[in-house]
Amino acid sequence: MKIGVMVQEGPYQHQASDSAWEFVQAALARGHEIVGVFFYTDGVYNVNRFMNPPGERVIGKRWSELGARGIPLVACVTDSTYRGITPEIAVPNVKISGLGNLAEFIQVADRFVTFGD
Amino acid sequence: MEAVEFSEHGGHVGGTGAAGPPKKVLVLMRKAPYGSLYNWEGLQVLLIMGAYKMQGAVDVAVAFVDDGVFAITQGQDSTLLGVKPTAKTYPALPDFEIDRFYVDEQSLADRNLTLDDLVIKVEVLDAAGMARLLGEQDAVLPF
Repeated sequence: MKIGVMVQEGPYQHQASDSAWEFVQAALARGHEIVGVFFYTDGVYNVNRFMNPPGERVIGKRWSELGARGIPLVACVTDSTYRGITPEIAVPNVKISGLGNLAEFIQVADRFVTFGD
Repeated sequence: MEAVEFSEHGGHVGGTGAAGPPKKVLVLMRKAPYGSLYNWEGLQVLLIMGAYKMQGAVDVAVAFVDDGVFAITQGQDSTLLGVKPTAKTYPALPDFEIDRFYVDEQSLADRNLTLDDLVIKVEVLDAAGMARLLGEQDAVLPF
């Protein structure tokens, strides 16, 4: 099955980001295809490359590794601009682009799952 | 770093996924405006979805449930908050091809609101009707 994902909350503060990542892991393990992950609103903070939590999971790096496996990761360009997330600050394998990507993920997905508050 | 774009909207209207029947998308407004950005961001998604609907790529509806019904109440003035009034945008949505609005009957009743309190014309659904609407969708986007 083709699955699209949207993340609406930032890292560490809210469970949504962790749940989304775990969901993607589980879906991939079961042979599903993730057509894309769209980071919206505070979700764009998930792609900050400067996260450095001592002894903890590094949420930005973890997403980037999924991107390296070919899963399209897109952070909303407007929300990134609002929050100072620039290409220099973003982790590798993430695209900063517009809401049109969200519409396209929905178009190609069999199911679309949102993680937020 | 991979290619990073700063296009206005990204994607291509009627692009890669346009094949097949239009996907049915419901934007589900659950939260009051102003306390968080959710309602406002849902509105931005609606405006983009309108562009895709014009291309026949998606079919879009909006439903207001729980505190989401406050997003479309009359008499809003957000000037002292320093943010844009969301209620002014909703009546303009039909210009963007977004013209199917649904409201949860119980959510209105719980807040002592009637249809006369709202800034747009909506179809009122009972719990069963709302369940049916949600069940018909290819994608539900909660805000």
